Amino acid sequence: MRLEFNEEYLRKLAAGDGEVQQHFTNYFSPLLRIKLRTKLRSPQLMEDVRQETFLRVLQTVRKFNGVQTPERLGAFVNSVCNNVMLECFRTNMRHRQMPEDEPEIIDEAADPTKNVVMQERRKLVARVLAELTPKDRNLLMQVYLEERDKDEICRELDVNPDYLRVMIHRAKGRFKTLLGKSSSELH
Amino acid sequence: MDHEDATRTQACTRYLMGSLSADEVAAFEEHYFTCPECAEELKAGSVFGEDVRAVFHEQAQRLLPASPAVLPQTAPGWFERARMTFALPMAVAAVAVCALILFGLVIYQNAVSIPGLRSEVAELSAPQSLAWVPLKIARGSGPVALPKDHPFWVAYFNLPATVKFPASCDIESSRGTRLKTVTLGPPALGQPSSLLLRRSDFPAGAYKFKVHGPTQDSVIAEYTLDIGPE
Repeated sequence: MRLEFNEEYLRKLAAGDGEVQQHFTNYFSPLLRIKLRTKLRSPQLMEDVRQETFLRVLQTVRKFNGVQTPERLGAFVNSVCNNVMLECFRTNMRHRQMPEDEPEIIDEAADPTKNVVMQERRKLVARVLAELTPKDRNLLMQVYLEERDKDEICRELDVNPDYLRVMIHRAKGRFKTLLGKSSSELH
Repeated sequence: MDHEDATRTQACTRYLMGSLSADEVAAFEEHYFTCPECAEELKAGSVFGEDVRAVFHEQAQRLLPASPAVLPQTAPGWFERARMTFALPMAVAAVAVCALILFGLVIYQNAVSIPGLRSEVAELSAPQSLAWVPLKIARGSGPVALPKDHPFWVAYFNLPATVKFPASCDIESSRGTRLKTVTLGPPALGQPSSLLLRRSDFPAGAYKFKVHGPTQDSVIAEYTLDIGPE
């Protein structure tokens, strides 16, 4: 579902429209997780910050003129998240409960269809990795499996960081191609 | 940061790799929360990274040796089942056989062996007459008849006064085979030396009795005896 962030979207979100609320959480949850993963270690803390961010954004949206520019909704979510994180760092935030009428957070891991899709996707990734040279595969393995500075790994393996970036970019491109082929074969 | 900047600087890949500066991170985060294209690319890149990590992790796990901690439980084969089935009865039977043999042995000892030994001891303990046979140096005398019903007999002889004790006496057959060696102590004053011998050890035949001093270097006295048929 593709929805635009406009006045209508904000009005429905403020009114508690189920479809729009679902879109809102589905769209911003992965973005918040990606952002929080770069800054927080604890999965529980990430989840707390994400929920607190949604709570504050929805409370603001429901106020009259809470968000004046709908196209800036994403930037607003990002700034609220930053504030929540700062508070979290400063005060070791106590948990706040989501009100009962708030949209439920969907547990993606429990969805069997998504699990099947994920398994298929990983097969394609394994194929992409198998097509790499041993050197590139080793480089990628160290980058993704070891919790170390990427530049340091590049220095150790005598590889230019730009080369690594290009290599990952190409691997992603190859994965997209395979994914596209796989999807077209299914349909 | 606008979309053109993000694309030109490959901000998405660099963000996921952690290669952006703090200012660039803040700018890109503000951008991708409002840019659907960058948001999609970021999500795809993040999922790709998670999948790569998962695939490498799975491959690394496969290279590790299997844990020997828990072995699979297998059902016992027919031989094992038969062995378990018959083990107890066979053990009981073996114990019963051993007990039976022991019981038989006790019965045999009480009924046969011990009474036989008792009668033998009683026979030996009872006062009895002994056949005394003198041993002579000179040949020419006739064979001696030892009574059959006497279990023992006594050979006696007079040694020269120069013999030092303890001396020893070798008893040999007529072919020169040594049959026994008996240690001799000094006899009672004025009495001959004597040997108590078992009757059954001396069937009919000629025997030599050779007496040696303490050093065994030479024969002090040699006696002969012919035992005749009973």
